[in-house]
Amino acid sequence: MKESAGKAKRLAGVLVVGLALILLSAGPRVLRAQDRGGPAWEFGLSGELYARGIKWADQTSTLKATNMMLELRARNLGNRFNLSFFGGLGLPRLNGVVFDQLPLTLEYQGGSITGLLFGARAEARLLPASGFNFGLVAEFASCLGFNKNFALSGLVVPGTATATPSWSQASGGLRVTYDALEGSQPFIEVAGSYFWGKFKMNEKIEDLEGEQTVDLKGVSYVSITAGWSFFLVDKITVVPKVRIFPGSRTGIGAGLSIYYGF
Amino acid sequence: MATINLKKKSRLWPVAISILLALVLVISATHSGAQNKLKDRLAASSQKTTSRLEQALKSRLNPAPPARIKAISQPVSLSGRPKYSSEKILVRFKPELSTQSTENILRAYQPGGYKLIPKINVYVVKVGQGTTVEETLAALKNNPDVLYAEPDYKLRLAAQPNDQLFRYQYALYNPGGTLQIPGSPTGKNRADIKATGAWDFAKGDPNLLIAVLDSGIDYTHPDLASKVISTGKDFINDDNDAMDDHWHGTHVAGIIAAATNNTEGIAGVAWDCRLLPGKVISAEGEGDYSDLIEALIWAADYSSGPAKVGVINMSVGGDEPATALRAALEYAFNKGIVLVAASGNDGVAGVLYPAAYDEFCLAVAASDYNDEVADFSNSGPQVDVAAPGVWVLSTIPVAMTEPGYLPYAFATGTSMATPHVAGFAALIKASKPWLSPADIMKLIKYTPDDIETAGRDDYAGYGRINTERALSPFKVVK
Repeated sequence: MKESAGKAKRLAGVLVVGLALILLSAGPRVLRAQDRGGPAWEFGLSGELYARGIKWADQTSTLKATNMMLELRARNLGNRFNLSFFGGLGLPRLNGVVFDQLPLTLEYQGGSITGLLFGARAEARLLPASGFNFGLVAEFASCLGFNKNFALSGLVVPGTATATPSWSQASGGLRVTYDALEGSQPFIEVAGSYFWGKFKMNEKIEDLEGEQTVDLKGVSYVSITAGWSFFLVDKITVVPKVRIFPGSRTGIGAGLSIYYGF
Repeated sequence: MATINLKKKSRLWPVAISILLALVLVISATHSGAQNKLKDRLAASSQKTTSRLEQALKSRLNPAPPARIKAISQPVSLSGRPKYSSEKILVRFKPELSTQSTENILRAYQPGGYKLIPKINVYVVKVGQGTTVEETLAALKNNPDVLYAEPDYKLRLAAQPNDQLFRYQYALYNPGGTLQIPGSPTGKNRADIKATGAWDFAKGDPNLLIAVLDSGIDYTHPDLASKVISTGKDFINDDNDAMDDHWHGTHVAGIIAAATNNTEGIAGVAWDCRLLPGKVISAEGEGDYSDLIEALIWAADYSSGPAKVGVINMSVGGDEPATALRAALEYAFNKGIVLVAASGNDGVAGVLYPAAYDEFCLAVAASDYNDEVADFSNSGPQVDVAAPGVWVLSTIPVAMTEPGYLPYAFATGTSMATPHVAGFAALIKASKPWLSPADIMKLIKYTPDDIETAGRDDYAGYGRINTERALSPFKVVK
């Protein structure tokens, strides 16, 4: 947990410094007001690191994930909505999950497993009030992990384990933006966040075989996200954000998205 | 084949040398170094050094001991004795015949008596007066209604006491004298079954019973009284009192599941499991296949409330295969019971039955404190695993304990190796009751420490069992 928090802090630091340099080099004349004009399409590239607590049976661990996504975003639909679809690669790391229903109990410590990540996100601006805009946000993301094989070394006969994780996350809640700034828009989101997943493990030791799927759930049901959209040269928008999942096993995350309008 | 001969030759020399060394040691034993060796020995036998045991150890350090432990067993081959009963045979008729028909046929042979072992429909037939087993068998085999007829082969213990030798060894190894083990004064670090590591993850279940089909169990023994679920069944004397009038079964039972963590006596492998005694070996150390067959069926069907038999230990064996024995093993196996049996103590290529019934039974060889296969341990393709079977400390009947001695003794044989595996199987079955006997057998076979030659071999099988590896989470790493 400390390790993931440290990584998130480092990433946040890099983001802040990077953004400051971009902003300074671009200058105020290239900034444009956000959300002006009619509907626009944007193509985005996002990266995200996060760790969130998970539980199964009576045990807990931490899912650490790295997500790299391409995103297609429609802005200002009906002057009120943003809608985006994203897809890419997820690298969930589910170290610590124990498969105790297999003939030989396995504890996964094998690191990240690549998976296909996809999802959608909708934002609505509903109530403007003194520079702020109160709205709603909803997001769904799912990751289907690919099979990853491991040799079970140390046994007197050959053994292999095949791990296949998958997870989904749905969240919905309030989104508040501050629209009074020229060229940028800070925002905060407080959402209910439900995480569920499956981690399948297949074991084969000579002719001894077993399979177990562990049902995973998030230990936290709330996420708080804070970010800042910077509207840079013409059609480029940069959005850094940080996220926490408060709860008994607090999670933390950070991400950066870059959009290009067309 | 050449390799096997070479191996066998190389195994005879250490036996001879060991016996000579034992003689020399008895004559010249001194107190020097004995204390540490005794402690090492006890540590290897059991991680639980109890107060009584400590008392015995202290008594060894100080003359005039109030209590001691003795060595009582040395593996002895019984070749030369009759191979099968001179009174009984086993017969099974074709399944399409009714019981009335089969009994009419049997009566035509004028038997001295017969009884049916239900579930597998095998008759134990006493041959009539004036006829022999061989004649009756020949006649029955010619009868087209008979599916099979076979001798009622003799069982024998995988470890037999040799009192003279025991006394000899006892004087050398007991807490009051010098504990010396011929040829192997010190043991190899961690040449054990790793029970302490396994107990962090599994201690067994009181509702999982391990049937000990042996010479009975002394259910009054202080280290066993709380662990024996009932007085069991005596198939020798045909009553419901399987009190041990030999010693072997009580010794085996203690290794499996002596009361553990009770500040007294020794620790059993299957810490929380309980025992069910079935007496199939007489006070003289002999038994018949028919008794074992009946006991297998009885144990497989036994239940007492939620308690059921999950494992059967058979530290016994005979030289011959028998279809009825195989059928009884199959019956128990199909009821979800893990069967464990001793490979035998003749130091030859050839595993005893029932251990040799590979598809239903784990065959256990004996290793020592240096992770070397004991010279007396039988070898063969059916050997699955090895477990410590040389000078293993366990319980003995209180009634057979001489004044001034504790009811514990060191014994040697594949009989002593087998209960380690039975206890191990019970720990697995208690923690993963959904596993089939075949899966548990595989788990036990595939998780040992490889000893002897690399990979599976006919002496140690897949190696010396490692309970911790099978029961603790195995880490999946890159």
